[in-house]
Amino acid sequence: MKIKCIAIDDEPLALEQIGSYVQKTPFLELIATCKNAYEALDILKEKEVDLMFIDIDMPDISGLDLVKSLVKKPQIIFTTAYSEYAFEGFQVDAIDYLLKPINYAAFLKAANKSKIWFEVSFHRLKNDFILRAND
Amino acid sequence: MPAPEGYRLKKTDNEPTPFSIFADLLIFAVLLTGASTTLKLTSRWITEENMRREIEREQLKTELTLLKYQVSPHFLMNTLNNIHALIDLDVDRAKDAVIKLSLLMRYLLYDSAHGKTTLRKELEFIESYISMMKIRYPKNVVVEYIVPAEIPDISIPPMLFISFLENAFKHGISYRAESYIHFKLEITAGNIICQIRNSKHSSGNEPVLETKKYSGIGLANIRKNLQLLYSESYTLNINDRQDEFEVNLTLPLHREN
Repeated sequence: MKIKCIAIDDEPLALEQIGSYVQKTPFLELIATCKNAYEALDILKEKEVDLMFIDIDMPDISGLDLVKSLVKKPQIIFTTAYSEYAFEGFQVDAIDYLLKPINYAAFLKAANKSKIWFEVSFHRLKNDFILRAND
Repeated sequence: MPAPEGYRLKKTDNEPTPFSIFADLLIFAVLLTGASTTLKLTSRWITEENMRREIEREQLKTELTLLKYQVSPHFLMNTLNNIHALIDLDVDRAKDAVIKLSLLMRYLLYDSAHGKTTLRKELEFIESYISMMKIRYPKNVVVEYIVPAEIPDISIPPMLFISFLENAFKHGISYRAESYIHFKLEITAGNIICQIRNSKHSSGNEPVLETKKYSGIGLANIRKNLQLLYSESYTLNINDRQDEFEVNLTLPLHREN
């Protein structure tokens, strides 16, 4: 089972790069790339999303504001040139924080973190289910 | 050979005369004044030296801060990220971008450090900055750059326009409405007139991103800088309208000092 991802960045090239990184990672599936928070909100309404790669500094609505506004949060990985936002980023439960320029190795490391998280929670779910079945 | 009896001086050593007391006091007073003057001078010299060092330190600090904030570090990081992406997508454009960025860095690191540059170089810098920003932003952001075909050979203090331009890019872009950034420079008989305008976007009922206002400190610094460089001979008008932000800066063609 692949992890369903979206990428959000206002800069077209940065977005294309993250999109291409997602596509070349076997355990990730690219659902959509979004140029701004509004596009992302539309996608999140319609589709199931497990993981979000999101830029922080964007016009209109910043990445942080978007994440804060979500009731049901997917996993979050911030992609940004702003290292000073890291603390705030982790406060909204981001699992990782990628500093631009981003190379594939750093991207993959963050993606792996997410994979491990999903595997663990999946196992937990399965175990819960088994326990309940045994009751 | 002992002196003849009749000429022996009378011993007066132990009997102070009014004159000798006066002389002693005088010497003492002179010494005291001398010492206190020396002390005063030394302490003044130390204070002055400290002040001079303080000023030097302040200047260095200002220069460093200036250098750091002339172009924001985020600009550099984001631009590098875009070039990194371009290397995979379009090698020729990536090469072009590296050249433009190096022009920009050279200006920042060498030319602008001397505190004096030519208008032509400053405009070349503005142009490379704009072309870097164009790589970063989508095509629906309209960037206009209008300067005279003939740029006169005049020297100006570096980096006067960039903070306004940077600000225009920072606040002028929205993806939900038409966005534009216009940079226009004119040369008249005695003045350089620079106008920088950007679109502004009020977001009705939508969740409002707290639009960072033109930071008061930034603007105050720019004014202080202009005041130092041009005293009363410049004008800076800022029009903050509902849908547009406009900066008009007029500088004399030639500086007096």
